[in-house]
Amino acid sequence: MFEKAIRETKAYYCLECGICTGSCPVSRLNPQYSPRIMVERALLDDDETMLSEREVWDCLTCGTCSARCPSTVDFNEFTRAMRIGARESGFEGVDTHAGILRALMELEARRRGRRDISWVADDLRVSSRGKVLFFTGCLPYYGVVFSELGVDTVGMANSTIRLMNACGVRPVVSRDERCCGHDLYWTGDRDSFKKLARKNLKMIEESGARTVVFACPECYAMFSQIYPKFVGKIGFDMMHISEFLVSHVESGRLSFGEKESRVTYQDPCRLGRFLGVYEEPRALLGSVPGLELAEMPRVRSEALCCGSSAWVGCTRINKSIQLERLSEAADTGATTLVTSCPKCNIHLSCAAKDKDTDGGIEISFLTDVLSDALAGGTES
Amino acid sequence: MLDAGRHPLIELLAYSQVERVSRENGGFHVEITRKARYVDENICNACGDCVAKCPTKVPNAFNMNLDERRAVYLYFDQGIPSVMTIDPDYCRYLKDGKCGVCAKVCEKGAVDFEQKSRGATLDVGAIVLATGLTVFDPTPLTQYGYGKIKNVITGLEYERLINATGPTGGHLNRRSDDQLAHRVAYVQCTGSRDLNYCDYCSSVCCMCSIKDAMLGREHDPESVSYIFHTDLRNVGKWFQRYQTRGEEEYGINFVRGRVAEIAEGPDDNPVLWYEDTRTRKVEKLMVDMVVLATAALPSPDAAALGDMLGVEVDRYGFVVTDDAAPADTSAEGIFACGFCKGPCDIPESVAQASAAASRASELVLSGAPVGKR
Amino acid sequence: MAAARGNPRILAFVCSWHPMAAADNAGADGRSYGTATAIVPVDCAGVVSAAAILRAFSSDVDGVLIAACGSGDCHYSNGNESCERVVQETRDLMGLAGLAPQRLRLDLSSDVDGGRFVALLDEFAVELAGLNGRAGRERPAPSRSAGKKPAKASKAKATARKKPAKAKRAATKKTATGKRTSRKKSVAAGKKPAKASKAKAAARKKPAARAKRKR
Ligand SMILES: Cc1cc2nc3c(=O)[nH]c(=O)nc-3n(C[C@H](O)[C@H](O)[C@H](O)COP(=O)(O)OP(=O)(O)OC[C@H]3O[C@@H](n4cnc5c(N)ncnc54)[C@H](O)[C@@H]3O)c2cc1C
Ligand code: SF4
Ligand code: SF4
Ligand code: SF4
Ligand code: SF4
Ligand code: SF4
Repeated sequence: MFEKAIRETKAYYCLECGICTGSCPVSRLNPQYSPRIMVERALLDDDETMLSEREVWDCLTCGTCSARCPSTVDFNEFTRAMRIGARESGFEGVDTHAGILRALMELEARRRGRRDISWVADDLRVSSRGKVLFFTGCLPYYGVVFSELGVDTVGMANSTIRLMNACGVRPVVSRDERCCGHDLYWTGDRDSFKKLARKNLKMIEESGARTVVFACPECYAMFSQIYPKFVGKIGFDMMHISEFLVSHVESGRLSFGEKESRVTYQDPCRLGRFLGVYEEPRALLGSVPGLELAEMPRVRSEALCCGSSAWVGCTRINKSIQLERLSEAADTGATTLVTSCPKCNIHLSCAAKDKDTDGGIEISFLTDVLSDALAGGTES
Repeated sequence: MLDAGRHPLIELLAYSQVERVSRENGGFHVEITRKARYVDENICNACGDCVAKCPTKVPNAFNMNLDERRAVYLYFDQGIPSVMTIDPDYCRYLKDGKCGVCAKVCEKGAVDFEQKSRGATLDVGAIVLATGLTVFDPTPLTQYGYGKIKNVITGLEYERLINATGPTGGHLNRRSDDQLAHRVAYVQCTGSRDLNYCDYCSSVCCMCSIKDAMLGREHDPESVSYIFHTDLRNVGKWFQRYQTRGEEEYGINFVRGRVAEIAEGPDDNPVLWYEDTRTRKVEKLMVDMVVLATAALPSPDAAALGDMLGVEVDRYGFVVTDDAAPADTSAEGIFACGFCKGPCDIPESVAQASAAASRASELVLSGAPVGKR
Repeated sequence: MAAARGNPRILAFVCSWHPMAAADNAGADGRSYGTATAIVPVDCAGVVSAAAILRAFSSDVDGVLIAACGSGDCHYSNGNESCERVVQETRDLMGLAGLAPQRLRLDLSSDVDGGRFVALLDEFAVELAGLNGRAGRERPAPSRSAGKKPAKASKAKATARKKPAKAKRAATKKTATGKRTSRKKSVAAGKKPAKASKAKAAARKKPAARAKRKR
């Protein structure tokens, strides 16, 4: 049943060199898990038995293996194919957070309804039609689900808008927005993902936007890399908020006030390995006077994943990866770990809370840090 | 090489650049630039007095920039012709008109700052291409930390370190602390057999790493080597025996599994992460030094040269030759040998060189103008 | 299109302790409630997850009712309290998704009166019918500057919405039968989880007896 996937992911090129397994953060902790052996088994026609195994759901889709694979085997897509197969055979992964996030995504895929955007702070300027659209993704929802973690994702969305306002841009925040479908896509729910994608593209068309700005790298990766494969050409520009802001910093339109601190930066898998955006967030942090960036040993394309993805599986292994990353971050001597992905923020904050260490590193979202450093409020 | 240098019928035009080649009178008219050495080739006897006094230090490219040479220099000890060259990019006299120490100390009066690059022409009956190889720069493989982790070096750098005429006088000293490296790991296929970089097998690196590991043990009885490989490609005559000897007599540890990542451990020790594919276990290993067996590529200007000569090169820049006449290129009268045609080791390069030379002489001695045979 | 405005689809998660006794009594009393109401008995209201509630809305129900025991009466000590938290969280999420939070109702009561239970469902049905349209095509809640005008397209499409076959099946009239009573008996006889202490089992009998008295 895997023939198509083997062909499309180029699994048949595999040299069995072991780079993938040796690179995989999960394999390093869980000897049962090996991308190389999964590829080997698929090639040996052992795929049917594989589908019922929990390892199908263990991959973080972090892309580390594929980035290094000398045969350019796309293991992420391979995992997705296995998950589609597993779903069709009646096996599912263990949803984290009691399935609430999956249920929300499915709800958005099936229902009509329009989102409530009253969470947008009163001092911010947004519009319903315009050239630039801010795609908020699931940030408003996460605010409810993760409030206990102290992760304020609504604040992240607001600080993003605040920065855009500071650049003189009044972004569209659409009530017809839907989840981008990232998690459903990577967990093998093709139908719901496609529904969401179509709804979003229609929404953007109706908004008149020519440029879509994302605060969440997962949404950005979905729109720019996955949507075109399934729903055709995209007729608007896309950029991450860091890319958007950098151009305004360069043109001198946006500047920051003094902020004395030492920070380190987590490259999100999607923004980094998937989209190759490494420099912009660093350039932004670098443009804040007094802010010092101390890098971790594994950065950019070698960055360690935040340990969890697509809301499947949160085990001792996932936690260990997160704690490993947190200690790497703390070792830099930074007081704050800045991320540009809301999910990294959630996952790492959760681990930090579990660990409950005193003097542990603070975890902050890029736009929150920048918006705090905005010189003289929201006006530029 | 020395034989060629001494041969009465061979004229060497070293430090020269082929600028243009045109077909004329059934042969080739070649225009060459002979670069100024600022030292008279016919007078200099390579005594080294000038080098001893030259105050200007320059990174030594021949030693992979692991040490320094002077602005007046001999590219490498066995190089021919055995004469000095003054590097115009660094020499104080040539740049600012100050110094001139070398000219003062040279008893033979060989230094000539007035020398100019000059043109030369040659009319020849045949051309042999032997532009050889260049090594892959492993910096883009960021997971190996080359350039970032001090004790991760390339095979060519290792060859210089272990060489008695090299920067450390043949001692395998680590860059971080100048201490002898005892535990050395070789990372095979760095950039080779990799669709992202070089998709072919560079063919020489497996044997080369075995040789290097053996040399390491010969220099240091405490040396322990690990060769991490996809599969060892030792397919020449007696090569398998060489490998077995490496394992049995030199204690080389062969590990089946490509290295996934190199991290920096305590004391600047590199830490390798890999899957031992025989035991199916992910392991890490801390060593004193890592040697990357980097891919070998055709010379970077091979493609331009091919263009100039009308010789077909493949997508990598290797000269394409005829399977039935392996020294013949796509252009009549132009032959090729050695690594510029594709990966091969020294013995094979030498054999090919002989073949190309005999094909060339066949043509030239027959007296038949090219294209009219 | 059987389930018209006056007969909204309701999914009721009913705790198997007091509230289920009320439902059983309603049956024993021969009371009837909306034909499009489905009752899902649960061990405790505390097991109803936000995901389960949201999935119900994904499957096109108009309202979800959770019937839990009254304060201090939870058989498992705090299931009803944790249910309150889940309901609050889910309502917040529904609001953000543009789904009227009133469509999720939590009833905390240890009253086993069948009449009260049916009245509760009826009242909920009336409230749901009063909300504009079926769940899933809510009229936009009044909101801030962005998108004050509802999109024309969604209005037009709203009428063309198809109803899944499953919902039709659920829309058969439910009338209480003797079965309910017999179940009640077995429940009263302590067929419930072995964990239940004798004292609790006795407490379970009381409401049943009261129901009989009422009759
Ligand atoms: C790290 C390493 C270790 C190796 N170890 C061994 C070993 O132990 N044993 C073994 O048998 N083989 C070894 N090899 C292989 C060996 O190096 C080659 O087989 C051999 O060098 C090929 O010889 P060649 O003359 O074709 O090319 P090269 O040795 O590369 O010589 C080409 C020459 O052409 C010159 N040139 C290039 N372009 C131009 C131009 N446009 N104009 C003028 N001149 C030009 C270059 O400067 C160079 O001097 C090793 C290779 C590597 C990379
Ligand atoms: S890294 Fe690629 S080639 Fe190597 S074992 Fe994994 S899938 Fe195969
Ligand atoms: S994508 Fe990441 S988690 Fe998944 S197999 Fe590859 S390295 Fe491991
Ligand atoms: S230039 Fe003069 S001093 Fe220098 S090596 Fe030649 S002969 Fe000796
Ligand atoms: S003139 Fe140039 S080459 Fe001669 S000694 Fe001075 S710096 Fe060195
Ligand atoms: S010779 Fe060996 S190390 Fe070199 S590319 Fe081939 S297999 Fe790899």
